[in-house]
Amino acid sequence: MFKEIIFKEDAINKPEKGRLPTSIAVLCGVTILALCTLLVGALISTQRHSEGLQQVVSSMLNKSGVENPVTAVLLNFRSYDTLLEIAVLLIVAIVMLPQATVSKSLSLIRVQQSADPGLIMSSLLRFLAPTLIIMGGYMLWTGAYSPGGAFQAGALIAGAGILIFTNVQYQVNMQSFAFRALLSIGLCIFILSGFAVALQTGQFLEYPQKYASAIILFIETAATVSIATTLLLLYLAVAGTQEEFNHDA
Amino acid sequence: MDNIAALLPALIMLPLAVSVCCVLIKNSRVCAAISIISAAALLILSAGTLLAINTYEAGVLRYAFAGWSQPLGIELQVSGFTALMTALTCLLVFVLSIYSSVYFSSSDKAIRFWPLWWLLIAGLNALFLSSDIFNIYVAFELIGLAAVALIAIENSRAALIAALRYLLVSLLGSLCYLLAVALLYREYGTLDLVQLASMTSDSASSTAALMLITIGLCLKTALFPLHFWLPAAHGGASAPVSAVLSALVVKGSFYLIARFWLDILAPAASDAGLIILGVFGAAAILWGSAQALFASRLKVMVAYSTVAQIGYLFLLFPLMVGNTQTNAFEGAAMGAITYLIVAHATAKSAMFLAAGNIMRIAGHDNIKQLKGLVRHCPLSIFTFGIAGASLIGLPPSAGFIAKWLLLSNSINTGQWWWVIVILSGGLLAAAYVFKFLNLAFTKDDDTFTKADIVRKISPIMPLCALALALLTVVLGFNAQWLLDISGTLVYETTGQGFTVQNLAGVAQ
Amino acid sequence: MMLSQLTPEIMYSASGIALFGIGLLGLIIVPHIFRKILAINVMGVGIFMLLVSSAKRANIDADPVPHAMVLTGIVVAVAGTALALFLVKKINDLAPSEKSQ
Repeated sequence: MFKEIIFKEDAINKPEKGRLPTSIAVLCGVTILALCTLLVGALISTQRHSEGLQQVVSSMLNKSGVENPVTAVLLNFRSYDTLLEIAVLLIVAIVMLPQATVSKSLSLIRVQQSADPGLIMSSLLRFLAPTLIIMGGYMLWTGAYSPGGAFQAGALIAGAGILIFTNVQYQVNMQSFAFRALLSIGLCIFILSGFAVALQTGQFLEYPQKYASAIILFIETAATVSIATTLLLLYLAVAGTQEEFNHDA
Repeated sequence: MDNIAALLPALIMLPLAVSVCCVLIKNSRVCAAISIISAAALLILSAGTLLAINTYEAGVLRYAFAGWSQPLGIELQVSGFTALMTALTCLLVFVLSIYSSVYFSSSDKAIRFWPLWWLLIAGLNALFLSSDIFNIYVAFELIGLAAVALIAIENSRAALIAALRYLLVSLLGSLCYLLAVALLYREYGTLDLVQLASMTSDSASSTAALMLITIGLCLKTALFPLHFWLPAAHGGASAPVSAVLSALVVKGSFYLIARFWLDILAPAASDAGLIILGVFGAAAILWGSAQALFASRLKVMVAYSTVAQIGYLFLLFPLMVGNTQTNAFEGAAMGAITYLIVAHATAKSAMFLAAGNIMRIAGHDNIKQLKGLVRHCPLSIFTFGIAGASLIGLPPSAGFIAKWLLLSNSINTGQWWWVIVILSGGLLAAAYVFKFLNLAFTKDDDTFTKADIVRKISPIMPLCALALALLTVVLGFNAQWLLDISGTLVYETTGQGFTVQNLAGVAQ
Repeated sequence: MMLSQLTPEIMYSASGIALFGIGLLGLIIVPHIFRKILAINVMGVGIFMLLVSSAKRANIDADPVPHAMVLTGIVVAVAGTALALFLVKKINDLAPSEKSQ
């Protein structure tokens, strides 16, 4: 009776089978409209807090090691959230890693010089990919001062990676140790740094103030590498290219 | 004392570190060895925390991550209740890790299993220890995605569909919760649970937030009628995964519903709401037990039994009516629920492991074709029987004590109608447990005459299951001990608690 | 409702809640599984909009904590979406008998 809520099993292949009766759809619409009205009413009738945590953050900003308050929150005041977020990305990466079917001795990247990517692809590769990587590096660096940071940088570099590895010329070996190391280095460095600074300051993830900006940049760089690799893996796993290399080689 | 507080992050960071090691090593034997050793270390650590909490008079330990105390930073908070939950988690993880090392020993699934397993454990400990509503959201996502991933390693179409439905439900639940977090932050300007608890009012926004939290987390806890995803997900996963999903994962979201209703958002809670939650709980008991009785597969039966047992937990709420203005996160009903959580966690994980053993031996878990099974796996059937007795509520078992406490609470608060529900739930549980045992003990059946149908399993697997089942009996014999702990399971929202920061401040 | 209550903050926040509602409706009634996954993302964006609009204030700098929450939320949403898409792909690969388009 309840088993097929959210989606019907057949509808994954044949969406037309998942259509709800109009009466139920209208009922859902009315209920959700009522819910939203109630929520908006609650917003209007309730006074917003006067300043949130803005004052608290800005009063401590000079101790955080960075000038951008959002980066300070993400990588210093609430760095523990970011650590768990990197762990969430690792889960998805583990699921999408192809099953181990080939030997581990293969190198991380394989180049097929003979393959011809075509004019458009080769010029995109030549101009866009390096630009994306440099922009990624800039994003990472500028995160300390203005909007930017590990995720934005990782997304740009992953874009370059997608451009490179959807090309026939280059293939990435997702079963190599190096690839798994790239996926987990973000979490690894985050935990190790947290532990290392605790030896100095006594609290997990509490950076010595003098080195805070350097440690933040270090952790962010490792996180960028993992984020970029994970996003690349997500794309390749869902888009379904690279099957050949990883299953039959 | 401060030593124990300083070690609190290890309860979360050690599982994460083990997970990274397992990703890198990719050798199932080494991963299993590391896992068992780490699980033992975690067990000692959590037991130490539990003992420390009991001797420490304020009853709450706090730890400020990165040295920033609330509201700027994220704090961990351990009370008697959460210490007990963490200790329970680590105990089950220890036994289940030993079981899994054998269960997955000849399977290439182990390479995925171990890192995901440890990420799930990290999420559970993070959830129980967290004192920050947004951090709890991240912990929920960690648990939800890891649980889905663990179901998906089964790789059959049915398991993948169950995992996808569970994922969408879990994301929907998390988003409802996140919307509530946004409303609460907009109104109160803080994310810390203790600060929030001292500020909340019954404003429209807080009431809406409580409603969203309840809907979102009831989806995750699988309270009837939002349980639709659970039987396929818990019934389709591998045995140790089913055990941890039923024993711990659904309890994590239940714990937060209870905390928000009875503690943090208590001013916004209404008596009518408490009673409605109880009514859904009662419906869950009856519906879940009835569905378990009609289930044709053993693991689906055990999964429906979880739906029913979750219903018992929600009887906490009506028993708290009229009690919400005082610090309601303690008291007699909470003691009963604590006992029920522990009793169900041990019994249900024992049952899922026993069912997993039976599935390994017989090659399927179709109840009708398991006649005469007792000859082939006496230990697993015995385990199933003991765990079943605890679920029914027969003495001497932890389940009996839990139900006894729940019954006496119902009568003491003058709500005798819950007694009928509790007793009929027990009868239905007896019906489905004995339905299976009866079949298993039926003789003179030729289902298993051919020796080659029956597969051999390592004796460690039934022994792990038996250990968990015996634990429910031990907890039943030592009721006073656990009740003494739960007597000190006080959530002190007004007390300052203990932080390393405070100490440092005093020293200067 | 008084018109004076319709501050920009309320209007942006209300649009966020409207997005949440649209996403929720889509999740339930749209039959296509990909659109359901997108609908969940629309819900998430609605919440992010509520968070960001409640962070902005007239006389002082914007509150950075909701911005950080949104960034964390985006990463988590990416992870959830990718996992869902991957599961759909694997389910399609294991589709029984007849091939899907």
